[in-house]
Formats: sequence, C-alpha cells, structure tokens
Amino acid sequence: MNTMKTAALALALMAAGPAPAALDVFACEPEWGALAKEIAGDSAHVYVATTAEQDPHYIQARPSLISEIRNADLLACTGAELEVGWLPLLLRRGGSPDIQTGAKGQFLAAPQVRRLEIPSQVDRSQGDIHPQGNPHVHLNPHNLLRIADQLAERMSQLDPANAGLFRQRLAAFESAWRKSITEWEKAAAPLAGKVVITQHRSFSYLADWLDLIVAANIEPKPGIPPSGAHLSRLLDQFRDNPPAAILRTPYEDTRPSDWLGERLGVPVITLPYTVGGLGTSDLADVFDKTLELLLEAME
Amino acid sequence: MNKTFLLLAATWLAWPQGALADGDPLAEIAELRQALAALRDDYATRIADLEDRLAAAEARVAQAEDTAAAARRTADEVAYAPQPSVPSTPSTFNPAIGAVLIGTYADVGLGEDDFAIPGFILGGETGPGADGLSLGESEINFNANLDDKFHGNLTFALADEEGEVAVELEEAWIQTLSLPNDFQLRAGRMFSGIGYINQFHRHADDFIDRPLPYQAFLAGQYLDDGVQLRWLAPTPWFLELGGELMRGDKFPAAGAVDGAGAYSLFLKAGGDIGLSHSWKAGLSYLSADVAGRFAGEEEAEKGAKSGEVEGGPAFIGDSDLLALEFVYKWAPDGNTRVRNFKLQGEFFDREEDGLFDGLGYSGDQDGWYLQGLYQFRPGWRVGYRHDALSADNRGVAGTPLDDEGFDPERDSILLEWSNSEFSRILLQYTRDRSTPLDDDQVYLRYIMSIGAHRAHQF
Repeated sequence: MNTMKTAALALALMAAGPAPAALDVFACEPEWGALAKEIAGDSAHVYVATTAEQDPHYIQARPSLISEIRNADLLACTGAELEVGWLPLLLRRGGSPDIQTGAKGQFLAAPQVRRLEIPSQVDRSQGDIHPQGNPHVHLNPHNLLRIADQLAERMSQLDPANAGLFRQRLAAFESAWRKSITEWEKAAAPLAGKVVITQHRSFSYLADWLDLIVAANIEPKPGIPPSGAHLSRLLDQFRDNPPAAILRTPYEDTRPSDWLGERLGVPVITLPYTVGGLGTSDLADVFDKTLELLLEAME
Repeated sequence: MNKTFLLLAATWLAWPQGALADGDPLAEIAELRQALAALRDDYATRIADLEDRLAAAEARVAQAEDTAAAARRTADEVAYAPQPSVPSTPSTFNPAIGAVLIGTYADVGLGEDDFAIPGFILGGETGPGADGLSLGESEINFNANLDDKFHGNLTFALADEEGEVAVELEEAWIQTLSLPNDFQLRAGRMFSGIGYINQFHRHADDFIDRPLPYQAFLAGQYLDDGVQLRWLAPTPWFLELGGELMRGDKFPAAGAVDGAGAYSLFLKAGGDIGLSHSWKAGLSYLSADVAGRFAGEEEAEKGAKSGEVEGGPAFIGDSDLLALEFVYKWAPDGNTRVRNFKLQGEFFDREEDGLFDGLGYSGDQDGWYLQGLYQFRPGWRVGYRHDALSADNRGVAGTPLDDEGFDPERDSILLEWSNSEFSRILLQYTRDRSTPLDDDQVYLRYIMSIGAHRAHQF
C-alpha cells in the first residue's frame, strides 16, 4: 500500500516536471523551523533566526537577519508580541510585501492555539507582559498538532506544487506525534501535582500539560531581573516547604536559580526549552529529553 | 464444525476398499469423486463466508479506530482552540505611541555660554548642558503602517527654553514598504543615514552626551528635510547603499538658499561571525552648500530661518564631511540577555573651503571617538569612551575658527542600571578637556519610556 503511494507520488512529481524554487522559510524560533522541516522535508529551505541559547525576547535586528529576511517567502514566528522588539524592524528594513503583517506569508503560531495567562489588565507595572497571553506555546505537544496543521495549510497555499507532499508528511508527523503524546503522558504521570519554581514564565504550557504546579517565578515580574531582596523573599517563602525542582531555559542567567536551589536543597534543572537546547535534534527529542530530566529529578 | 467434517472425510477415505467392493468398482470410483467434489464445494463456500466475515470485522475495527481518532482530534480542537480575538474598536487602529521622559542632575563647571571649541563653529544643542537639576527633552513618537505600501513616523520633542515650552519637530517621515528589488524610499524630516549613531534617537545613546565629533560636525545629530533612497543588495551578507538629497536648512549646511543644499551617500555592510560575534561597518559622505553658518547658536538659527547672511562672522562655502563607522558586538552564543559587550567607533574628516567673515578660509578638521560597553549581569552595564577633535584651519587667525593649537579631548566612564527595557538610570563622569578650561563633570540621568515597546536596533 505504502509503496504504491510512494510510487504514485514519484510519478506525480515526475509528471509535474522540475520543481519550482523551493519555499524559503524564515523561522523566528527553532521550534517553528523544526516544524516546517517536519512538514516540508528537503523541499523547503528553512532559515532559523535564533538558537535555543538565545532569549527570543532580546534579539537585536542584526544586519545578518535583515539580509536573511530579504529572501523569505514565509515567516514562521510565534507572535503574541514575543518578537515585538526586533521583528517589526526586520520587516520594515528587509521584508518583502508578501510577509508583512496580515499577508499570507506571515504565519504566527501563538494565535493558532489557546493561550494561557492572558492578562485581565494590561499595565507595565506587571512587567513586560503580553496582552495576547503567554507566547511560549510550543511546550504543550497538543498545541504543536494544531500549529502543524495550520502551518502545513499555509505552506501548501504558498507552494501548491508540493501540497501533496506536505499533506502526506503532515499526516505521518501527526500520527507519530499522537503516538508519542500517549507515551509521554503515560511516562509523565508521576509528575502530576509536583510543585516547581521557574525562572521566567517560559514553562507555563509544559506545566499546564503535565499538571505541574508553578508556585513562583524567580523573576519578580516578567522581564525584570531578580534583586537580592526578591531572592531572599523566595527563600523564606519556600524554606519549610521546598518545591520539587527549579526549572530554567538554556538562555537564562544561571546565578539566581543556582543560589536559590542550593539554599533550598532542591535540584535546578536546565531543560532544552526548544530544538537545539542541550543538543536536542528535533521536536520529539525536546520532549523526550524534557521528560527524562524531569522524571530523573522529581520521581 | 470444520473439525467434524475433516474427521468424516478422513474416515471415509481411509475406509478399506474391500468394504465397498460389493458393487461395480468404476461406479464406486465415480461415486467417490462426486462425494469429494461436493466436499470441496462445501469447503470453498464456507471459507469464502469466513473471509467475508473477517473482512467485515476488520472494516468495523478500522472504522472504530477512525472514529476514535476523529474524536481525539475534536477533543484537541476544542481543548487547544485559540480564544476569540479581541473585538475590533476604532482605537484598535491607533498607531504605536511612545513617550520618553528624561531628567538630569549635572555637576558641570562650565557655563553653557562659555562653551566654545577653538577651531570649530558649533551648532545648537552642543556643550555640557545645564548645571544642576534639569528636565531633558520629553519626546513623543507615533508610528504605524499607513497601508500596505507606506509606513509613517512622527516624533516631536517638548523642551523648556527659558521658561517657554518649545515644540521641536524631530522626525516626520513616510517610508515605502513594497518597492521592488529591495529599494526603500523615505521622505520628510528624518535623521540622516550617515554615520552610526546619527540614526538613533539621543535617548537611545549609551552615554549622556554625544561624542565630540558629532557635536562639532553635526550639532549633535544631522536631521533635515528631504528624501532618502536605500537599496539592500542581494548578497548573502548585509550590504546597503543609500543616498539623500536634503533641503540644507539645518546644521552643518545651515541656511542653504536653493532648497537642496546638502546631499549624502552611504555604504553599510555587516554580518555575523559564528554565533557570538556580529559587526557592522560603514562609509558615509555628506556634502553641504553652506550659505551662512554663524558663530553662535542664536545667530545660526536666525540665519537658517531667514536665509540671510547678517550679523556676526559667518561661513559661506562648501563643506565636505567623510565618516567611517564600525560597531562590533559580542554576546556568548548570541544571547545578549545575561552578558554582552559592544565596541563602537567613528572617525570624521571635514574639509571646508569658502569665506569666513569675508576672509578666504580653508579648513581641515577631524574627530573620532571609541567606546566600549560591557553588560556584566542582567540590567547592569559599565562603559568607557574617549573622544577627540583636531583642526587645521588656514586664513582665520584671531577668529573663532582659529584653533589656537589646541586639541580638544575627553574621557568618560559610565555606570548604567536598567530595571526593565523601559527604564534606564545612568551615572557618568567626564574629564572634559574640550575647551582650554579643564572641567570635571558628573551626571545622573533617568531615561524612561512609556507605551510602545522600543525597537532593538543594531
């Protein structure tokens, strides 16, 4: 059956003649680059603007990014103001009309899913909050299913010649992903109800998925580095009732979390956060590694 | 059922031949063949029947699986579907609005009126600033995409000038978003693209005041009314070419009469080296027809407004400015959040020919600065800057353009704390030898922004 499908596809591809120029995808974050690669395989050129070691809030509109965004047919970014400091500038300096706000070539992932932590009041005394909610949506694998579906549709619209291939690869990704979700959820059962502290609100979706309880953030407010006084307050608050672990991303300052972890006597876990973090190679690897680290430290 | 049949058939076949031998043997064989054929037919029917039932069962399982998958999908759809977006209201289309509030305490020995650099005619907004407590310019900015083809930007500054609130128009430009072949056209009042920090708002500067070459050659910042065309080259690394045609009313042209008194050309390149290093460098040229640049700020403004050449000594002639810029930034793995370093420098060379106060004058002046800033932990930065000027002017002995053999220079150190991206507090110490009167200066300044998120310009 599968061989027949492949053969039919190969035939269809041959009949279509030489493929038109491959879709150029500019992914703001590694997770969307990885998702685009799952859908397109080698039939799209994917450029990833940031790495897992870089805080996506604090990217500068570097000359190299301007020259890369020039070529993009499709922008795959988070939205919800995660890239507000740099993406609008890149778009104004180098973006073609096809990828400007609202254009078909601009795909934003966060608006495709249910967002957590939508503030009821938008005021900067709350820190650098996002009126559209927490933008770190990729750490719930269910969200990725929805986003993959929408991204594949957008890619098919922009590159109809490869639409069949995208649909087929999407189906394969979805079925493998659903199977993985079942396995992850089974493996992660012991984590439910565990209390953690996170550095920033980067793991809200992961916590929501695994029923982890985020009792506090090391940042007093989003985007505001912790002061000594704030860390002491956290220490007092949790001394008698320490959390199971402190979670942080590869790009965050290690000092405040190390300080608190040491004094509370709880493990401080750097999670991959996204593709490339701790050497992870793809999205499934990110979740495998994340669960492995969480289970190792908290079981 | 099947087993019984097999058993029956086997018994029948194994029956001794003699037991059946009471009739015609041929008839018996025929009878046996018939029985076998009947048996075969019966089997075939039953097997076919069983196969049908198996297929039906398989189909039902597949259908059930499909239904289950669809149900799971629907459940996901419902659980992870996005919230409805905020209903649109007329104010949804408001542009990004931002305001910047600045306040300073300064301990400066030099009076504002004493500030004069021998060998240079200075424009407005130069010098060490007011002593004591003062309010800086409060700046208000609006910007938004106008439609699919244009972006607009308006910035004005409110300043207190001798008890009266003065409104200064800093920027009022529109820019194209969709010209083909990576061209971009900007028109209106804008910061010129020459040099590195000229395009930045002053509140985005690392140090409290502009480096000496900016003060001497561009009156702090060259902004003018005109058009700018930029082109991004189709290279794998960043390469940009640009040119501007300006009205020429503002310093350094200061009072060109034909309404197109200055033009500029610039070339910028940049890129990354690995993950941790990035750079940008540029070469710029600004040519201005100077119809009357006065020694002294008030005269300069008056002359610029009227276009007349009256009062005080003034310069009439050609002014050519060449600028070299570079900036290098380092951040471990490109992550600027925790630690980062920036090294930045610019060199300017200006040649002027014409008349100063009726005398034949030719001037050759240059200036440069080099500064480094290091963020050692989130929110905290330290910096150092050295800036210097030198002039070699001929035919102007005894006038303000006489450099008196003096080379101005300064050294500054800076400590900065930002609580968030929206607030900065700066403490700066400067050893100022820009005038023959040495001065020690200390500044404490806050720079806070309200509203729209600032852009992370490189």
